[in-house]
Amino acid sequence: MSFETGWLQQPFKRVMQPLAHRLWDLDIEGLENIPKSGPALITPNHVAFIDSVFITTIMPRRTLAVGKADYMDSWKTKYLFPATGMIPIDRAGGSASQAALDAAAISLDRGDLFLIYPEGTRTRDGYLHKGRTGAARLALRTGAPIIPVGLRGTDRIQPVDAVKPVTGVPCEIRIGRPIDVSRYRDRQDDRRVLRQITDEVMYEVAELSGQTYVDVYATDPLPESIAPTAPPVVLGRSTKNRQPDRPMAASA
Amino acid sequence: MPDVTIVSILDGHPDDAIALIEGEQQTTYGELKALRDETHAGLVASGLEPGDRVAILCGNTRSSVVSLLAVGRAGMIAAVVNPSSPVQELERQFATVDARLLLVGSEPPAGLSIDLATPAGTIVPGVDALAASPLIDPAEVQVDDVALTLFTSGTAGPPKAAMLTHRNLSFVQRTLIANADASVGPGTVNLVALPLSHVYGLNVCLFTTLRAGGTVVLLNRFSPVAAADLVVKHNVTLFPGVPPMWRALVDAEAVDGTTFANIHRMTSGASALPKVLFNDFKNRFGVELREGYGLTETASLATASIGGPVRQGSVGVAFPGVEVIIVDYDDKIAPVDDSGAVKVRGPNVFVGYWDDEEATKSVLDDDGWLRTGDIGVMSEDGYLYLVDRAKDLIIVSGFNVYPFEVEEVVSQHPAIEQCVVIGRDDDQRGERVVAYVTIPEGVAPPTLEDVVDFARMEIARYKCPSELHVVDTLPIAPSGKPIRRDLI
Repeated sequence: MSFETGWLQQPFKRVMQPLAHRLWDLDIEGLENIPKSGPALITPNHVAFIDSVFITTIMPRRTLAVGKADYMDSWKTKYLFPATGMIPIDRAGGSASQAALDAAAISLDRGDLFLIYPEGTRTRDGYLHKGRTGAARLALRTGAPIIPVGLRGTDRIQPVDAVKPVTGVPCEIRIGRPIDVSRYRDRQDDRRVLRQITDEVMYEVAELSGQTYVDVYATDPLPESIAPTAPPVVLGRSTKNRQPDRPMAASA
Repeated sequence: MPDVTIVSILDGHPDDAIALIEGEQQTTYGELKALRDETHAGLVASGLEPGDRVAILCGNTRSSVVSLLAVGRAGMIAAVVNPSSPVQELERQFATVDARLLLVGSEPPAGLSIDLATPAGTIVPGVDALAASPLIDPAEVQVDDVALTLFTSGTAGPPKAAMLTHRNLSFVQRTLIANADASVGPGTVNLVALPLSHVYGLNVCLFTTLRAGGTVVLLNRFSPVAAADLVVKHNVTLFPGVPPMWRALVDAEAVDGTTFANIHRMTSGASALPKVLFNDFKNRFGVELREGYGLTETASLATASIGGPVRQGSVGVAFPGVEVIIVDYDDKIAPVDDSGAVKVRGPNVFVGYWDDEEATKSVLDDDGWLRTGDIGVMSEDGYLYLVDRAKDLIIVSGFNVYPFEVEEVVSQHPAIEQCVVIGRDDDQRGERVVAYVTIPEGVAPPTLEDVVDFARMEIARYKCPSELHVVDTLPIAPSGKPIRRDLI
C-alpha cells in the first residue's frame, strides 16, 4: 500500500494547531500573504528542527519539503515524515541538490506550497546566513512566488542539539509579502539574477526574523574579515510593520 | 603563430597595402615602415638608448602610430599618455616613468607648451621633426622586454604605469588573429575611434589589425555621424567601442539603421553595457554588441565573446589560453553562480607597475594571478558576468549593494539622464545608498520617493537610494565608467 506524500498533513494539523497555540503562545502575522491557490515557495530562517513543524502546522494548505533520506532508515520517521510532507532525498547521491530541486519543481507545478530553508541548514551561531540559490532557481523555473518568513523564539523552544522542545516559550512567526520573480524571467541566462533574487529574499527574512545577516554560508566558518556589526539577533527590534506601507512592486 | 616584438609587427605585408587611413590621407605599409625607420633613426640621433622611456602624447593620429612603432623598433619603452589629460597629471606621469623625451604629435596640445618645465628632457613636436638618416638596423629586442607603459585609468587610486611586455601584447594579437570568429585578417578594416592611449584601442584595435595586415581607420574625435560615414565610406568590418558611443549612435537620428549591416563584429568594452542599451542598439541597427572584458594589466582582453553565442549581460568566456577564476573572501574558488573576486592568469598578464613594487605585489601574486579588483559571477560553462568594482561595493545591513545595478535602474527613470551611486556611512545600517543624478533640460527634478518607487519595480528595497542629489554634471569617464571616488 502506498500513500501520497503529505497525506497525513491535514489530520496532523488538526491536532497540532490547537496544541501548538496552547504550548507555545504562537503569535502569527501575515497569513493573508499565503496565496489561496497556486504554488508558492515558503522560505523561513532556520534555527531549530521544530521550525518545520510550526511552518507546516500554521500553513493553510498542504506544504511539502525535502528532507534527508536518512530519516527513511529509522522506523520512527520512515512513515511519519513522508506522510506529513517530507520528500526524501539521498544526499549521498551524485546530484542531491538537483534531485531536491526536481522534486520541489514537481510539487510546485502541482500547485503546492513548498518549504525551503534558503540557508540550507540550521544556523549554529544565531546569525542569518547567506542564502543558497535553490529557491530563486525554483521560482524562475516554475513562476512560483517566494514568501519570506521570519521565525523568532524557536531557538529557545529547541536550543541547539536539544531533542525535547521547551514549552511555555512564546514564538513569533512573521510571513512577508510574496516576492514575484517575473521581472527577472527575461534574464534567466544572467547568472547575477540568482544572487539578486536570493539576497532580496534574505533581506526580507532578516527584517522579519530580527536576525543580523552575515554574507557567509551557514556551513562555513565566519571569517574575521566579515565581522558582523550587531549581535545575531537584534533585541528590541520589532519585526512588526517593518515592510513599507506602499505595495511592494515585486508583489504578485 | 609565434610571439613577436613590435619591431616585426609590420613584417610580411605587401608594401602597397593600405595600413592607415586618417581623414583623406592613406598610408601604405611601405610608407609606414619608412616613416617608422626614419623616426627610429631620429630617436637614436637624439642620444636615446634602448630601455629609455619615450613619452608619447598618443592621439588617434598617424604621428602617434609612427611614434609607437619607432620607439618599439629602437628597443625603447613607449610611455603612452592620454593627450586630453590635465597638464599636472601629465607631469606626474612623465616623472613616474622618468621620461627622457616627449613626442606630442603634430603640435603640442593647448596648455602644454614647449617651454613647459616637464621632467621630459625634450619635447618633440611631431615625428617629422625627428626624422633622420641614415637609417639603422632595429635594436635587439626580446619578447619579454617591456614594450610600453600605460597609465591605469585612475579610477583605482593614484595613476600607476603598468608595464606590458612585447609578449603580453603579442599574445593577445596572435590569439585574436588565429580565432576565425574574431574576424581579423588582411581584409579587415577596423574603425578605431577608441583612444590609442587606452590598451583596448592600442592593442586590440591598432596593433592587432596592423599585425594581421589589415587597415586601420583612425578617428580622432568621435561623433556618431562621422563614425557612421567612415563605416560606409571605407567598408569597415570591425568597430570596437564603448557604451557612450553606442548610446550616441542610437540617439543620432541622422545615422541610418542599415549603417552597420555589413560589419562583421562590433565589440563593447571598457565599461559595463547596460541591458537597455544592448536592446536599443539591436533594435535600431540589428546588431548584437559583443562584450569583452579586460584591464590595462591584461594587455586588454581577459575574456571575450568569441567562438560562441552572445549572452546578454555576460562579458564572454576566458580568452583562449587565459585562466579566469572567481574566488571567495578566503581566496578559495567560489561556487558556480556565486559572486567573488575575479582573478586572471596567463601570457597577457603584465609584469608589474613601473618602479612600484608595493602596488605590484598588491595585485600580482607569486603564482602569476592578477587580482583584478572586479567582482563577478561565472556560469558552469565559463561565461563571466561582471558585477562591479570591489572597492565600490556598498554594504547595507550586511547585504551587498553593487552601484552599477542601482545606476542602471535609476537612470531609466524618465526624469533622470545619468546616475552615479555611492555608499555613505550610516549609523543604523552600516552604509546607505546615495544617488547623484542629472536631469534632462526642462524636466522637473524627481523626488527621492519618485525614484524609490520607480527603482522598486526592478531592485530590492535595501538597494534603493536613501539620498538623492540632483547635480549639473557627474564624474563619468569618456569610456562610460563612473568615477565614484570623486563624489565621496
